[in-house]
Amino acid sequence: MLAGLAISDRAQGFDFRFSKGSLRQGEIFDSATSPPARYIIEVARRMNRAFPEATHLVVGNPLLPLRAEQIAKWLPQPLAAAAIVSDAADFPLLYVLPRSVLGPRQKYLLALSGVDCDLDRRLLEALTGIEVARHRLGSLTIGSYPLTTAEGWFQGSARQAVLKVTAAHALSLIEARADWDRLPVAAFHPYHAGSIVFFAVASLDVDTPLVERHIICSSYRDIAEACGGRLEPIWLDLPHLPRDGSVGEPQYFSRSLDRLGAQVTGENFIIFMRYSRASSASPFHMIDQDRFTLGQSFERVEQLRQLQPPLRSDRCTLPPVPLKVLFQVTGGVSIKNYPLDYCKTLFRVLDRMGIVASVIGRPDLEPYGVTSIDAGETDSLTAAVRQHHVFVGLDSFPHHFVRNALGWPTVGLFGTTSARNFGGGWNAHYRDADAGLACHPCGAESRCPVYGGKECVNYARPDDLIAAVLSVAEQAYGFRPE
Amino acid sequence: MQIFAFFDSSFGSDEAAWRRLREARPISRQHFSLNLPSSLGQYDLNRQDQVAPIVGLARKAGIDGFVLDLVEADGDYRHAGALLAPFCGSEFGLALRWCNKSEPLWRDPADAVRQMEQAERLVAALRDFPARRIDGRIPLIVQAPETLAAPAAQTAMLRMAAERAGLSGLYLIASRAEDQGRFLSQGFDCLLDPPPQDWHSCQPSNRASGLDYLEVMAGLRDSVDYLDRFFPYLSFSVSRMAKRDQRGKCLPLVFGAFHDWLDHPEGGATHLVASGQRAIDTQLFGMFIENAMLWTHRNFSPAERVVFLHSWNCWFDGSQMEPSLLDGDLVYNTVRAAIDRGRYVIRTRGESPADIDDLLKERIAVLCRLAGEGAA
Repeated sequence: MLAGLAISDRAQGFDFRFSKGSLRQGEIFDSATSPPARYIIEVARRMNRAFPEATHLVVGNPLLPLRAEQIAKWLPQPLAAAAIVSDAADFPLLYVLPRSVLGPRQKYLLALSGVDCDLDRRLLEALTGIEVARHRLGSLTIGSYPLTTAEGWFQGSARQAVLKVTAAHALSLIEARADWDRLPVAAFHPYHAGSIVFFAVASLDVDTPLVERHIICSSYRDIAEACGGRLEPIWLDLPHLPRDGSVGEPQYFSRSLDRLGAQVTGENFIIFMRYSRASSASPFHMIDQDRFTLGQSFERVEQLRQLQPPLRSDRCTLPPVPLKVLFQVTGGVSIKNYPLDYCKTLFRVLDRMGIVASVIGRPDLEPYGVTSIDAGETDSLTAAVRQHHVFVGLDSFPHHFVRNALGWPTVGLFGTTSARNFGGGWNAHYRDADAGLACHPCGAESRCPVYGGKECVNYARPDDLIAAVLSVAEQAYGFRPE
Repeated sequence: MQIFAFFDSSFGSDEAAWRRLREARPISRQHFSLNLPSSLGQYDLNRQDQVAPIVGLARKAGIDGFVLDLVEADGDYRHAGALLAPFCGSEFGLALRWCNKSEPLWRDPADAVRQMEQAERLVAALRDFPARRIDGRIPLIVQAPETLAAPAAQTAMLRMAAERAGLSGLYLIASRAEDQGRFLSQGFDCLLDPPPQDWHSCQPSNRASGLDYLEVMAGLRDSVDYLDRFFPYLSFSVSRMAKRDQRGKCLPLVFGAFHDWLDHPEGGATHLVASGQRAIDTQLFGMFIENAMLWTHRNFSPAERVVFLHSWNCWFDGSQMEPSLLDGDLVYNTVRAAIDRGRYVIRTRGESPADIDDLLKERIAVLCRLAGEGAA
């Protein structure tokens, strides 16, 4: 629930829900990488469009499930030009914003913490140059904000600290620099490889980005360069966050600020744009989620890239016969690997059908009629893909890169994760394949939560996978097996 | 993609059904309590002002139609279509489930003449029925096709009667899916997953042994440990979707919850149990609906893409999705969100313009089977 009031000589209430796919009137796009402040901007934009005569835009804190009716009861009277209403412990409940905040400096609103009334009040004063009143509802205490909420937020105390740091940092920049409104906004979204692809591709597909720069782990330099995103990179010389959970994201963020140094922190507003919400709660693709995060507003599903042809589309120039297919069947942990028995059957049948199959980094599968090749780096992966008509990959970097950055005919294999968030979208030259089990997506990292094994039973059977490959091959190249 | 939900039309003006629900008491502590309606109230289906919000809420959730029971009584067939007809149109309609279990006439292969007369009476009940069509025809689910003595001949009778009555044809669905699609060659257009009590692919968690029986008889255990079947919801829902293309042309029937102890006074009830011993796991239920929709989209022709939900208001087995006192609108919102998600993903996939033909698919399947056997 998101809500607000648009106020002129009268008030109009707005209630929004996070969309589950329809983007009906009254629904707001659901993006996992958007910080709470991005939703403050979005609710304000929506109200501004629907009620252009409004002088004040009152936005409920996106972290709280609020309705306009409730916000109206909390609204201070008389209404100040700008104000923040908080609970007894200074947790912001609603923001009274002058309409002018949606002007050219709108992007700096991304630095609002959404969790600290005093910081946000000072920041808003600095941004707008007007006094921001503060009202405390002594009778209400939100209490300890939970680690996860029914609405999909995960903003426990450690993550709240990150939001406070970015707000405080923004405030210090404004106080220290007269030319602060010329400074760029940098998105902190430094890892992992697949996310870099999505973010870079999304940046090419935003009308007016709220963000100009992108902080990226320097080990992903080749990926960022190959994707050719619109944001200027800021290289972070830190290894990416380990996937084993040994380092928390807030801890990593703190180390990153140290590593980036004064040269970067003194010249950029830094906004935390790693996940703030559960990505699988949203039905939308990560590229569209990132587009929203970067500033694009959506009110109709037709505006989503997932329903349009991809920005990049390319294909193999080799003759269609023999059909050449490149596979990536190893996903780092065994539950993400395409099952071994399926691999054996798959490559035997392709060999028998006269289809030339290559697989990345699996010499153990060569006895079954496939050639193992090395394509561990972005360059070698690109070169290998160009020698094949169709790419088949798991839900990981190679798939995301080949589909979204190279625009190659692709089949995506999905087991524990969902194609709706990470697939290839638009069906031209793309298919996603899974077994459609009701447990999917479970998000398991090590063992199957249903059967207990180390292989995922939701992977498409070899015959379904071959059918998907042939379907793409026919569509992209007119290929039909003899 | 059409979504149908089963609808219990027994909630009439005499209040008897609601009273029965209110007075229902579990006979074991392992039985989940039955729920009661909240925002829609204990409605009277004879009152249009009370039916309108029901249909409105269903449509808002993305449901395209209800499935009503078609029951034989004194030689004629009855359904409650007239109660819902004022609210049906191009965006919402009805289907029927023929409750044929209680009709001995159809069990006798020699009584073809009377069966033909009965078929005509059945089809007469479909006249002016506000059907939501499947493949351009009126959908009729046969609840117990295994009790038909000669399914091929009897489905032919129904089709002939429909033709004589000037109907646009019947889309016959056999509520039976665990016998390798036997009924598909007996005149049915497709199959429908059976309800949990007839589902055998998934082992119950309390598969009772002789020792259990003795302990129950000695009063050492609750009798439901022996008589009832408890299915873990996760393995139940996964088994429904696993290898389902090998069961023939079978439409999914999705359950969120099910516990039919009230209608099994002598024991033998079936229970779906979510993790943590809850009656429903809304996250899994939502995933079940969404995956059923995506599977159907991938495996059926556009006119025959249908997912059935059990149920809109079958309060007596706890499967209702109407807002309730115990769950609020949590289940309803789960259904609505899942249908929204499913429809969105389907839209992103679009049609597969160059999907390979069935012959090639079959060839690939045979090659894979042979290669798999070779590997073994």
